[in-house]
Amino acid sequence: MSMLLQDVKYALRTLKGSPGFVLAAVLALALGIGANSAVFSVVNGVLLTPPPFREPSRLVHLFGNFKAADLKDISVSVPEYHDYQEMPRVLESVAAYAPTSLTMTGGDTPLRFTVVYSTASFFSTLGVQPILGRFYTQETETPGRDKEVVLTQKAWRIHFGKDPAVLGHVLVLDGESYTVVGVLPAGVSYPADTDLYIPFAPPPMTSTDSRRGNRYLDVVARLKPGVTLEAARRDLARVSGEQEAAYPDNYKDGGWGISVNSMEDLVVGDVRGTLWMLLGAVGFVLLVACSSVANLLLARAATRSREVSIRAALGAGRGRLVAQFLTESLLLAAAGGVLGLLLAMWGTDALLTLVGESLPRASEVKLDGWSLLFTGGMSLLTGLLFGLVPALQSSRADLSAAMRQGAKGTAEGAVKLRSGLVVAQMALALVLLVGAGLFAKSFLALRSVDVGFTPEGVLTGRVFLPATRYKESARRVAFHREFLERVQALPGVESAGLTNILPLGGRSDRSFDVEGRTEDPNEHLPAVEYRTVTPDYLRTLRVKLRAGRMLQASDGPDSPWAVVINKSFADAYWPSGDALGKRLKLHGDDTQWTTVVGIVEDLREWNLSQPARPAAYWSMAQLPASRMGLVVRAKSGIEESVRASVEAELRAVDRDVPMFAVSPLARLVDESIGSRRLSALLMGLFAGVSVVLAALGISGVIAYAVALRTREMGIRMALGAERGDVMRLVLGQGMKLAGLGVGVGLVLSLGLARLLGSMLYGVTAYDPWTFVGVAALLSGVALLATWLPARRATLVDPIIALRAE
Amino acid sequence: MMTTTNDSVPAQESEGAVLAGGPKVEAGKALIQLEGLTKVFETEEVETHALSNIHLTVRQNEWVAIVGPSGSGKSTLLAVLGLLDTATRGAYLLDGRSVLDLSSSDRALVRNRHIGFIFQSFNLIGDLTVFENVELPLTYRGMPAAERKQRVERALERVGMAHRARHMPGQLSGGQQQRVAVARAVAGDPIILLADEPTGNLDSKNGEAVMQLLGELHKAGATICMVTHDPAHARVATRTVSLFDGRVVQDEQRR
Ligand SMILES: Nc1ncnc2c1ncn2[C@@H]1O[C@H](COP(=O)(O)OP(=O)(O)OP(=O)(O)O)[C@@H](O)[C@H]1O
Ligand SMILES: [Mg+2]
Repeated sequence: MSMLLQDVKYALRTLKGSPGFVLAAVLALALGIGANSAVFSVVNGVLLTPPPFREPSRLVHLFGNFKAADLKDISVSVPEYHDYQEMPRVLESVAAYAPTSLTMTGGDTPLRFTVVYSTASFFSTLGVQPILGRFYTQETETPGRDKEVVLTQKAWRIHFGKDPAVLGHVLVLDGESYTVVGVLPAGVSYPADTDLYIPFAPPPMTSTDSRRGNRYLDVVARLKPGVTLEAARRDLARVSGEQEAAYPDNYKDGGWGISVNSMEDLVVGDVRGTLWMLLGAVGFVLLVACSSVANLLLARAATRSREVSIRAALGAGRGRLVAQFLTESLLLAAAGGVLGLLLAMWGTDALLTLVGESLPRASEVKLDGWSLLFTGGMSLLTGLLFGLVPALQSSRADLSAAMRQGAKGTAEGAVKLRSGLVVAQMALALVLLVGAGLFAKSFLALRSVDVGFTPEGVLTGRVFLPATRYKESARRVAFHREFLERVQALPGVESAGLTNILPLGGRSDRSFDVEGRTEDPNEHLPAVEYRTVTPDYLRTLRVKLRAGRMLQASDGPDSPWAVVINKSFADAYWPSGDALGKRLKLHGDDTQWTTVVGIVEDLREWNLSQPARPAAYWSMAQLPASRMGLVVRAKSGIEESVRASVEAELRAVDRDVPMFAVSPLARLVDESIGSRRLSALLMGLFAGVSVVLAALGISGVIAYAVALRTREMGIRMALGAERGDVMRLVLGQGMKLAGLGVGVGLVLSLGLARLLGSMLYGVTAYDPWTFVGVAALLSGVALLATWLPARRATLVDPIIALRAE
Repeated sequence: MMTTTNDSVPAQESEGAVLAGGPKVEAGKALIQLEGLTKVFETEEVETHALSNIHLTVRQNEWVAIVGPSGSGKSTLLAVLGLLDTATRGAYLLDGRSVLDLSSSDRALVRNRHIGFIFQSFNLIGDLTVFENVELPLTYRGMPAAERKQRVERALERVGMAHRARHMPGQLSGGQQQRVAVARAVAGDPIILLADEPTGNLDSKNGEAVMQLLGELHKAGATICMVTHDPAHARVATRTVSLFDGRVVQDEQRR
């Protein structure tokens, strides 16, 4: 015990003697542990932790597909849902659901809830049990008997204070009363962020075959035990064939098919690649950090091999020496581990803040003990292993020889090992730099995409009208008019408009007919990005008019219908440029033939990385929406300045309708590329950390080599070498390592770049400028890092050549 | 600490010796001329007068043995002669040209062109082959490769090491290493060879071989300044300069 205390004391003293080494080693350990644990925790939470459902691998989603119209993974209609209940042989149970948003009134302020309409089979299909009460039953799937509600744990906690007496409570949602019948366990909220579930009770007419094309449901199903995805796909292919045969009007020539996707793919599909890529990248950082620690400890071992020989010569047993160095390494490891833990906690939080809403299942992310243990263990093992090198050296048989030859032989071996480590670090740093470069380029390319509108100075918000009170379109039109008139009259407002879907807010495909155009069988189901907007909407966004006119107040309910189309639409259907005055009609009972009155420039309605699609802007007075996005351009150019007054006007029009998701339009644009920013940022961070570690590594190795070669430098200078010669010699040695590292790194990057292809925009994975630039950058850093020890080498006094070795 | 006056007893003898050998040596051209050369090392507390007021002239084709007890300043003198170190005071003309206040890069140039070094511990560079070691000073001169090759081969032949050109220094015995070092020193045709205890790290047999090699070089016209501890080796030289406490106390010419 006293021995141990003495070891600790001695170790603390020696460590105190080299604060630079301690700082570097602890930082390298902490960075390795911290960054890895943080990223691994996120990946683990999102990808690796199974959703809280029974046997989640058996859960699948069913979607429709019309290959001929390039429509992939579209929703399901009620008749199709009934097909899926009966026709497949591979499904144990099927459920349909549709997310919506309802406003709860009766409290002080109206509250908006994310609500999911679901069939009663939804919960049994997922395989969850209520923690309180029960779920609704199949009887509730009938209109009029559907007034029951199930709360998620989160809604229960936030809005009902976890009151067990909540059962039997009545909630007023969009004017209808629902009775609380059950509460879900924690973590069950599917799709993400759902607050409440209410029964799906479609009116009987929606089940008729005429509504086969009325697709708005999502379908989740549970495969029978032992059924593979392939088997399920085969079975559903049979089903789609039977559908096509039975309802040729609906499916013929459309390339109809049903896709079966595992739930996991659907939930994390978009970010899976990014997350794995980040995990790989951070694994590289861990390798760099470990080799840094190894490198530092080897350097230290070299400086101490003499001390060890002397101690051993004085009779210290190998056990004693090992214990002493182990103590030292353990102290370092402990410090690195604690700092790493802090970094990991902080890093996980920071990561979640950075990704914000763009990450599915973000709520499931917590600092993961296993990943902490893993990365911590790995870094510490490196530390301990290499920390023992000096002690192990002491155990070599011929101590006297070791002392006589000095550290030369072992030292040169150490240089080789350390050079290898540095080459590896350089290579890994280069790979990360290439990744960072490519992501940064993609991000910048996306940033500079011409969105077709001017987001700066525009505030957006969303307003959903409760269906019960705004059933008649006249009431909705009246609401639009009054609300907009009030907002436009506000002193700080330049202009304002309403739309069914805000820019970058999602898709809304609708099929349509063009007057005088017979259907081309190859172009089945022409679909257009459907928008219905108020006259000032496009003006508020500063979208440029190419021809004709914008919508205007006179395009009202009783006037002939008018539509403004975008350039892509005009080019696709009237390539000769005569779109103006042509007529088209949306499919549906509530539509009329509509004249094209204007053509505007394309704006990115869907996302920044894909080209604009054909889009058309109908008049909201003619096709009144109940779910709207509001855009308000502030006179001052500062969006937030008008927020409070806009909200006050909304209350004045209808105090039970809240405005939610209020956000500057510029932020929506930013957020739409948020995950790209995250990738670029994190890769940049990882690359930065590794470059710093690699630079320290190369600097250290060269400094050490210079120290070993001091005499040689002296001899060379005695023989007439000038400072420049010596400088070149040392720089050359450094650049040889750097060049080797860069070369290996380039080969590695070329191999890995392929994997990044799909995550890039506006730059190929083999972008020569990125590769060349990054190689030059890293070489430059290496040159700088070598310059310091090289300079020291030129200061060697040639007179040492005369001294005996 | 003694003063710089050079009037102690051994100095008298030295004067006589110079005069005795006078006529023959005077014939050669003066390659090295030291006038009142003084080297003081200033360390934290003590000032060490490693060389005090040295007057020394070395002529063409002389073979000077520098002797004296440990710490008497032999190596320091050699370092100053070889422009590895600068004097504190005094004058140093090398081949008629003052070299004391040259810039460090000019001194490197002079070392490279005019001086050949042979060290006690051989000082071959372990990572370079025998050939490359000999070639090294020529490389610093920017000599074309073909000429370098020719000179290196000739130098290695002179020392009888041509067959080991591809070897690494670690594969050679001490005596062989020193012969390579001699080849390196002479490859560039220096005007003077400086050797600090060239046999110090060798056994007597190998030491004799190196001395014989120097003798051959001397016969062929080389001018040599050699520090040695071994009186037998000193006797082979044509002149012996004895140092004591940083001063020349005896300067004896033979033949
Ligand atoms: N760099 C230095 N700093 C301080 N003093 C020095 C330095 N180099 C030599 N000296 C001192 O100068 C004096 C002459 O040293 P020098 O090495 O020339 O002796 P030497 O005659 O070569 O001895 P040896 O036969 O032991 O090699 C000694 O007292 C030595 O301590
Ligand atoms: Mg000496």
